[in-house]
Amino acid sequence: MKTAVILSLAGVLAAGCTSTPIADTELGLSKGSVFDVPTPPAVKANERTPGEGPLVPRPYVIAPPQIPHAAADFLPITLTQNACLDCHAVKDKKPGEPTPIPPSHYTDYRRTPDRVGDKLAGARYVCVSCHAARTDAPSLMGNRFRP
Amino acid sequence: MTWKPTRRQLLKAGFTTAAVGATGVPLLAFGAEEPKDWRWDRGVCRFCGVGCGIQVATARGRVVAVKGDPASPVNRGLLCVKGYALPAIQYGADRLTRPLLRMKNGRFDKKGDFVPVSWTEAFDVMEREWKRVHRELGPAGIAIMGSGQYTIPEGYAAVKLAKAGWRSNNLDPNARHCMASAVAGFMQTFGIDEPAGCYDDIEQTNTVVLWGANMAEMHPMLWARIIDQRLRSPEYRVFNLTVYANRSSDGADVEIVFKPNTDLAIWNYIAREIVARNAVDQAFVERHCVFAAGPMDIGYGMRDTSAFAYPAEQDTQERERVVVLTREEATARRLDPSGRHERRQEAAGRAGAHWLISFEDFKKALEPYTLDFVAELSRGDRDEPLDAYKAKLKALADQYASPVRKVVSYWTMGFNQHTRGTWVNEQAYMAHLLTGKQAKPGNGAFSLTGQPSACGTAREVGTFSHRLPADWVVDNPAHRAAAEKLWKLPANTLNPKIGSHITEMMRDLEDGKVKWLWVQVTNPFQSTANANHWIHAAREKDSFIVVSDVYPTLSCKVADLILPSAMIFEKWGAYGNSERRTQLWREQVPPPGDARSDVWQMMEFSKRFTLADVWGRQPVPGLKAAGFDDGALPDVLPEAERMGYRRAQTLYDVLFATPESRRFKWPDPVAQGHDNHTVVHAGIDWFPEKALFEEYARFGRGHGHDLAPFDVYFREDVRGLRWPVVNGKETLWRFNEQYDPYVRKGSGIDFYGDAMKALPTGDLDRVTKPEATSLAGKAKIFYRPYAAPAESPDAVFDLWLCTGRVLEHWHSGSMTRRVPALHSAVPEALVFIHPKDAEARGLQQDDLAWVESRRGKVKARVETGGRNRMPRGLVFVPWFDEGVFINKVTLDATCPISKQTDFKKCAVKVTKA
Repeated sequence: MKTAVILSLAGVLAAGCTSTPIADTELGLSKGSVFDVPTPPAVKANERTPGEGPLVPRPYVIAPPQIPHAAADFLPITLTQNACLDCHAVKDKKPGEPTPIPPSHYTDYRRTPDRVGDKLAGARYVCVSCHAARTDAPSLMGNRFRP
Repeated sequence: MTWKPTRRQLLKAGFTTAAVGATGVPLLAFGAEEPKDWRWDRGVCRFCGVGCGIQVATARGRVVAVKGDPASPVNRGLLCVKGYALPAIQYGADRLTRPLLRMKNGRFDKKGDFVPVSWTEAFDVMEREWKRVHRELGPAGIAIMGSGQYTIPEGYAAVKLAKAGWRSNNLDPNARHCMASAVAGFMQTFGIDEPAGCYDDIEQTNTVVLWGANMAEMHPMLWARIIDQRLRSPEYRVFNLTVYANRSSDGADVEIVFKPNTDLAIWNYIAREIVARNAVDQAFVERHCVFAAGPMDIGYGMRDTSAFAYPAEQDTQERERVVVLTREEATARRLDPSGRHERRQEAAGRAGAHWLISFEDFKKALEPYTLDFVAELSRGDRDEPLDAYKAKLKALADQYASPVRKVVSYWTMGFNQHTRGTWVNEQAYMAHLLTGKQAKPGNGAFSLTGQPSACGTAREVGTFSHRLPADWVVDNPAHRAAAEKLWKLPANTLNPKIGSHITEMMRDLEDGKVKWLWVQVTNPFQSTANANHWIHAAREKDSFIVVSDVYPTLSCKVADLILPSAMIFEKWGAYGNSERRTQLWREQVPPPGDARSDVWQMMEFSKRFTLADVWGRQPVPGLKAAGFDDGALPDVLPEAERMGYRRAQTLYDVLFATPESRRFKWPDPVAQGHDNHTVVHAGIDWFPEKALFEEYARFGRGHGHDLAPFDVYFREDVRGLRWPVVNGKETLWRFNEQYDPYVRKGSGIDFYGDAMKALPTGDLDRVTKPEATSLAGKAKIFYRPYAAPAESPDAVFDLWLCTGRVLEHWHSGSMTRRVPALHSAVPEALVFIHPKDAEARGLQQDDLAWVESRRGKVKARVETGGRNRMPRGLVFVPWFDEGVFINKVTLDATCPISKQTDFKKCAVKVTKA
């Protein structure tokens, strides 16, 4: 229902084929008046155990994959512990096994860009800078990106 | 399905973390196959002030992919999660593609709903309203809110239009909310803006100190470089000074949780230690520095009228006039802490004044800042033992004082969004200058910039109420004359009266002093503190508000006219990042529907104004300047005619489509087949973005702000260049003879900035000898006292509120919340609170809570854990979520010198909703 409203509004804005006035309460990501105080919805973090769920499709082939499992238990990443590496620092991808960290992450692009090393590049250590976790929150707005 | 162990199970089974090791090289092919029809071209990330270099892939007229540019020295092929989302940011389903005007019965009506109109209709209404307001209020009645996310050509076009065309200094960017204190700190200390060092400092240093800057989330690719160094160099140390534990703490050797505003005291403790341990670099200080002080009772930049104040906020506002010093403030000022010290804030109007003091006075001023006093005052986590906290402060002082430690201090909003932001910026330089750890590789105080082009555009181009390009200011007659010459304007065209800063523009809307406002590339009605005032003003006062944006933001909801604008890869552009690296890009894809570049919008709108409309005599209330009648700008039309202009010429003719600009022809070989939809939509045969860039560059070349020629930035071997670029060579460390061609030969270090380099002399309280002494080539070591915040927790509003960002979202979320992966990761703003504070208020994880101040309230869900771990007594709410409109709650107190709002501290209560 909400999606239909979003898409039809988007259609109005995009196609511009009608002069139906749009109230400001219908604009933007949070419908309603700026003078109101909305109630933020309850949201749940992804609770899947590693290996339980499907991989998240990447928006385009070289985008960093989103974390398909619960992440909170494996954080924080500190100087002395990185739980991500415990599972993901493996060689080969086997069905049902953790996705291996790719050769790009073993390459020090700053100092030796042509060499795939045997240690994780230090600049790649904080996995969550690029790999995002998920919640069950539905999209606020459609997105027409296609690879 | 294979059973996978949880982390707890792994740890129990005795796995140790393979911290940077791997059990062999993975055999996965590198990346996946990139499609053959992808066309790659250089670009810059749209988001933070790191300024990562990217490569953008397009195919079939669309952006299809992005990667970190392996050739970029900034990020070497890496991007953070927002950078990787760049291909999606322009494809949100509600992208603005037609102008939208509030109408009733076929005419503009502020009470109407939005109706799509043509650009011609949009400009007709804009023009009519502008001229109505201009007739009533003159150039002071119109305003532009600009942005640190403007491209360089956009910012320069706005400066010309507002200042040279409309003769209004009411142009101020959201960078006022972001970097103004840093700029004031630079100008007061060095006489010139922007960091001496560059990102290479990260690899050159052995000690990194973060001050109120959550670099792990806010400058992630710089953090990646720091962690890289930390993991490879055993002697590298990282300190994180913060008001709550965060992801930067997770990567730090030492975390210091301090109380809001007490950064001022901690710096003075460090300086006192440096002096006491004889760690002052005497030769450096004697040759290159002087000591300075300024007035202390400077207020908090709050409203000086309570006409519109809510009853509840009047007690806070009263502190703008008079303050009773706290015990700690009294001690800091060497007064008896048991006495009652009332202080009228009489220096509020001259907060930036300063004078020379002796080293003896400087030492005397530091005396109260003992470890005991400062530890007691500043400890932010009451559950941390005082002795442990003291040990950390001492360890921190050790880094600055030690001769074997190179130190880079980094800060962003914790220092800048601060009612004493200019002071605390100056204190960072104080410590580095005392020890000679400044303007050297791996040694320096480095002000990090938040936005992608607050440096490149807002600061360097001068899109501020007091500014002209290249560090020039409107109230300096020599600067105005030089700008008038470059712009071919009659003498005294430019307005010498400083205009309204962005918070002041909001107050002007409320007061009826500004009635026409154009908002460009920013979302100020979501981002300005004490927002209830401004959203009511926008909707209820006699005003006409235009918002140029790409999506319907909160500011659009309160606007009268919305103009659809082109996004980053839909136009040619240039940004300048934190390390002075200017980077340019080509248009990649056309803007959708009727969306138009901001450059096109300004050029097109400028056609609606003849010289006769704007260059006649104009009232400017309060104007008082030598060579000007009081309260008015002169009629410069006769002089214009003598120069060869005609009254009927438009601002488009005179400011934009000049003979010089039209020499930059389109098509241009540098385009390499790329389009330019500014050109297409304007129907011209010349290249506005290049013309604007090259004209702007003339201001800075030869004055320490040299940019290379436009085309050079597109060379295959170039990934941006750090200015000053002289004879093709960029400058890594300014003011250092080894690296900076502007340094006087033989001086070694030369702080050659020339602003505010002649000062009177005085003591810690006042000027005693008004004769000016020249400080050419020197930098100032300021004594600045500890000061309490504008508003602190009390019996009713018993918690500190701090606001800020999160990794996954940029600013007000208008782009990132429309990217499914980013929204899914962090779908709403939470109130981060200590579990005990939550429990005491009957709140648990995920409960709904009111966060309320004297000024307003919002609802947010409770987070008692997560990435930010609060000390007791402080809560944090990020501001990316218009559904949790936290700026209704924040306080519009500013640094009185920089006019930058303190978003980091005010008093709230949190209750169950």
